[in-house]
Amino acid sequence: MRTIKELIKYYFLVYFKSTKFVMPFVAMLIFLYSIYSTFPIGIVESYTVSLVIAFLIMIWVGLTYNSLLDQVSEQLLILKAQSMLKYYISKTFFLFILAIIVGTIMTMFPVIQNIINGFRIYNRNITVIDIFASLILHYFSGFVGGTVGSFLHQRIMRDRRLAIIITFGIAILALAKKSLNDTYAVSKFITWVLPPIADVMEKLSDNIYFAPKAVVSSLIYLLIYGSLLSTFQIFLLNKNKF
Amino acid sequence: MIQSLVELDNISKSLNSNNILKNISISIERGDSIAFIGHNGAGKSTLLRILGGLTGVTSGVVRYADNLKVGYIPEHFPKANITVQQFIQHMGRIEGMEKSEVYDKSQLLFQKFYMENMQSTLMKNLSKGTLQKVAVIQALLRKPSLLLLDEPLSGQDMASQEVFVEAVNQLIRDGVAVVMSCHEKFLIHRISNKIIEISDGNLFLRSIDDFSLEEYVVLKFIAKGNHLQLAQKIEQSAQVIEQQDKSLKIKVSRNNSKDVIIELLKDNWELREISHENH
Repeated sequence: MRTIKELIKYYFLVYFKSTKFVMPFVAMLIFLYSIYSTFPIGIVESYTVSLVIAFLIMIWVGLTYNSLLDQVSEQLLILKAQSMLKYYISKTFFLFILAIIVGTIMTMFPVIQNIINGFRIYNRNITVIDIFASLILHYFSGFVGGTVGSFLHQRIMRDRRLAIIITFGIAILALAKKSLNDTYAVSKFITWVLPPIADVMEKLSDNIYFAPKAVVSSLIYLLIYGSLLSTFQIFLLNKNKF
Repeated sequence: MIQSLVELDNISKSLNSNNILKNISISIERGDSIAFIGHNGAGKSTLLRILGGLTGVTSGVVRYADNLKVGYIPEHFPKANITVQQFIQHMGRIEGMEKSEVYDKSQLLFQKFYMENMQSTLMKNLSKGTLQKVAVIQALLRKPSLLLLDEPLSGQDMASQEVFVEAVNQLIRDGVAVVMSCHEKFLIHRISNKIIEISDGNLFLRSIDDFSLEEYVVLKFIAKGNHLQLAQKIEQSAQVIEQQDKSLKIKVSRNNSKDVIIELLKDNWELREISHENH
């Protein structure tokens, strides 16, 4: 565990010393100001939009994170850690930590805005349960975004331009999944592989309060998808060594 | 459990349907010092990566000793946007060293490699040679069982090369196996006890006698004044002299190089570049 902790500390240093986080961070702030510029708005409704944005921002972060460490850096870190598995797990944890940072900002930003604006942002009083549910949903939505964004690693797909196009294609299809399935029923046989972000949106929509069943089932969806995708990526990376 | 550190048993490796290593078998033992030679693209670096477990094989079996600790000095070291000290500190911590242990060991190595004043420099601002010294320092932080060197001296100054050779030879005496991919005969001669040529995907053992060599240094100077006439002593010491206007390129044996440099500096020549040639 200590090795994984030290690897994560190293990624933090290298990532935040680079400029790779700047653009996704700026985009996140623009989205946040856009969402909360008109009020009053519904809590569940706004947080649902927000967690979709967390998903997209983390896809961006995952993509840029992949280019952070070149092949030689990866080789050195694997040899220092004396384990490929520890190295890959540490990367997954690091993305999850970034998702936690993004999720916390996206959840707490409107809470602070609400206080600054005399509690006029929302159409009802926000509760601790709302904040807690939003935090957890953002974390896992961001985690899925991060794993999708980083999935097409250089060793899985050498053509970076194609990898970026495919990743954003997947993101768009994931958001349009419900409409696709409604229009073409047969597409269900394919779209099940896409990130379950549209399913989460569907579960949470039209609710004034976070329904425990919808929240828990959304979390399970996201957790299973993110974990399976990470595991599959590790499997592919182990097959496609340097 | 195997007795050797690494055993390659009849392995082959194809890259883009090009069979670069064919049915190779070799064992790496403690205290071995092997140099792989061969032309560019012969498969030297690939073989190093296979030994380090970083690259898979197309066929055959690779066996590693338990708890094998591999140190690696790559040919092209990454230029991160962090300081040398930060990088070394983190590498040591990832290896499982305590903070104070990394600090003490790294200070010693920085001193040895004339890098005490560069610890706070960003790695992206280092020259190729200095960056290569960082690569060496990170690999020597903790004694590995197997040290892989991929063209380890590229760009390093002579004094640091000497320190490096001494450090590696000490590791070999301590039982560390060193496997190197290298073009520099001087280094092969100083470090390796077994030379293997990779040619057409196969390994050929070469005699160390083929690598007895004379070392030469190529010096490049620029005249600071108008006195361009070289002293007779210099002309006698040099193997080759190329002079054009105020620039001078001179090839001398390694043993004579110090005297020649001193003499030319006295004559108001400015030293611009030193490189090595081995014959």
